[in-house]
Amino acid sequence: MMGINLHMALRALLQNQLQTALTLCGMSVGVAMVVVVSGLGLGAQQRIEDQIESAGPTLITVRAGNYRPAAIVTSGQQDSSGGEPPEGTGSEESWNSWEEAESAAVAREQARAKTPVMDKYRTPADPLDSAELALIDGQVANVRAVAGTLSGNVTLDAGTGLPVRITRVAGFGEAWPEIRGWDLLAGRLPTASEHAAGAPLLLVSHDVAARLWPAGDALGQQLGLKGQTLTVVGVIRDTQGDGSSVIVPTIHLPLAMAQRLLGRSTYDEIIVRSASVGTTTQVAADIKLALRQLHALPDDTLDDFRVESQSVSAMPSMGMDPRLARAVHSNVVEFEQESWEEMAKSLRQAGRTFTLLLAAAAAVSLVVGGIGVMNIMLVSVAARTREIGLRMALGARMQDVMLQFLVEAVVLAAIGGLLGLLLGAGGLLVAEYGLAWATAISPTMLLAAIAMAVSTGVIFGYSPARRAASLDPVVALKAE
Amino acid sequence: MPVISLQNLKKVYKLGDNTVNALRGVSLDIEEGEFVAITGPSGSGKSTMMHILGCLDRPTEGHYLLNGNDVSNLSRDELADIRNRQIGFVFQGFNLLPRTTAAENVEVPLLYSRPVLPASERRARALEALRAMGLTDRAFHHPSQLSGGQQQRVAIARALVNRPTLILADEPTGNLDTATSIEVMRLLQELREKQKITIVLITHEPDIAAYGTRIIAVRDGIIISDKPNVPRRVSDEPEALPLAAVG
Repeated sequence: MMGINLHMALRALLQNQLQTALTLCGMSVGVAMVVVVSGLGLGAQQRIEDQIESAGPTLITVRAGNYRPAAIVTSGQQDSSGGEPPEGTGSEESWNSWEEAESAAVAREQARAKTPVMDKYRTPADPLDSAELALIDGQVANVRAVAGTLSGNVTLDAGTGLPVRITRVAGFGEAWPEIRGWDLLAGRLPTASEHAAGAPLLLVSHDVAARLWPAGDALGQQLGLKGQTLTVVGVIRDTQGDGSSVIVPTIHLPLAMAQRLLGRSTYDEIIVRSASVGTTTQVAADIKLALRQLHALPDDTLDDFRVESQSVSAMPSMGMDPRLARAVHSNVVEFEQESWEEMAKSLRQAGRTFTLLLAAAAAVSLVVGGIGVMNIMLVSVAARTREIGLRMALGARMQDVMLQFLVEAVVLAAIGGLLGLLLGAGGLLVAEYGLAWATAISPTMLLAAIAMAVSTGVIFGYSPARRAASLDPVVALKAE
Repeated sequence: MPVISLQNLKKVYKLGDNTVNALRGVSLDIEEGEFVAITGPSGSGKSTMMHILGCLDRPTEGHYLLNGNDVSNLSRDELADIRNRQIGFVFQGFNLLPRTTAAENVEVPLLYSRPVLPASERRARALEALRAMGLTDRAFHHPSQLSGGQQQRVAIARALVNRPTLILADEPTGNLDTATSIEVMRLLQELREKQKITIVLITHEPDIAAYGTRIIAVRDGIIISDKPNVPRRVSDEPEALPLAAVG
């Protein structure tokens, strides 16, 4: 029965080509408006989201060992109870020459190799290893990605002809480039199997590449480290800073390779991306709780690890001494984080309001399209009164007539809707590539637009169809 | 049992403050296989009678038994089913759907049959009905490509496609020339004689009424005469033409 109605509807619409075409215009413009507007709204929302994400803190760093404020008072010494040697502070610049700096670095490396001395100011550290990584990955909610790293200084094999003798080796896993937001400038990233095997290859940042190979292309260059020959396969830019100091250039190796070179299987640092800006504080708190449980720390004991969100990590780069930053962070709880999350929330709210406002405007144009459908249907019912009377005389029930006209309205609206989708998609492409506006198309949105078109057909087709169905057959048969 | 039995049928229309007594007590029995011609001037109530007989309208008072069932008080949809299954209509203006083939026009009543017939069955029955009307080679022509006589024969095929017991013909020759009118009347006579279909014909032309087996005259809402008639034969016509030359 539906097939017959569809057939009849298409025939009737084809018989009134001009009216049908005009109504289709109205309907498709309405639907196109909805598509364009929601595409722009969604695009704007995504752009807001991207900006929040890129500017806002979602990065959480977990380091082994804890820093106690007392250490600031006692000395300027580095905390090496289990973590990496902090870098990037002003002290290194005070060395007079590279030789001096290098020997200091060597000394530090040697000191590091020894068992950490425990004194009353330091909390003995449980090193971070795969247990912690798995725990954060598996047990903490709203974690988008987790990766671990370890780093240490390694002396280059003799005869490399490079301007440095020591390099800082940093291991990274597969998830790391995405979490850190590395841009690959040249070459490639290691493959999954190269990661698994700890292949002898390395990545350098473009700064380091320029320092080590000032003559030219870094790709394909080789380094000798502890008897192994490593090849440069990629050059990156690390938006977070690649951890290179002025003195000791950092090279990035597959984690397994770095672990072999440094003779450790633990991580210095685990970095975590939270699912979104709004969840970072919670994720950091959850990680703390989970790690305390894993390390079986009694309630009256301090953490034997540090969990820092991005804002705190960023403080040194804003000119604050990292030790002071940590002290501030431990006292002013989640200060910056909270305000960021508030801001993100209000930005998202604004985006949603903006989209809703636009959608309301689009809905109005859809209503206008619907009125067009209603108009053509009323005209059609009036013009075909005699046909309706005939169909009734031949046995059509009220519902048959009703269905016939309703299907006609819905077919009209649906065709208009499809045309509108194409028109709207075209409009969005123009906005995206012609005007460089942020746009987004989601399948849900397209389905919703079609659904709206069809329901417009039903809503605005109902009254004319009802009018047709309730005609008196005697009167309808006499109509001209 | 009569096919049609009217018992003191009355119909009152209200037009504003005026009431019009279109039918003022009509009683009538029509047996199976009769060819009844109802005549009368305009305003006599014959159209109202036709609408009630066709289950398009309901009487204000009295009873209408169609094949023994009282249909005077059925709902709109029940009446629609009765029209669909038991009554075939032939109209003055043919009432074919424009830009629709003859076969599709004939299929229309089958669209509303319950249970719904499959499309192939509908098409087969429509073509069969058209064949019976001698229109096999016109089955896929649109009404605008057919002559008046051919159009009326398509309409008769449509009336017959659902195998009704009663054919109601409302001025079926009103839009046709004499030769074609005669051809249509011959077809109706054949239906009565070969298929025992009861036919009620409404006309104001005595010439056309003469083809019936019974002539009823209506005036001012009552029956003024009801006589059996020796039907006029097509062969009586001086200008009778063979079928092939018609239309």
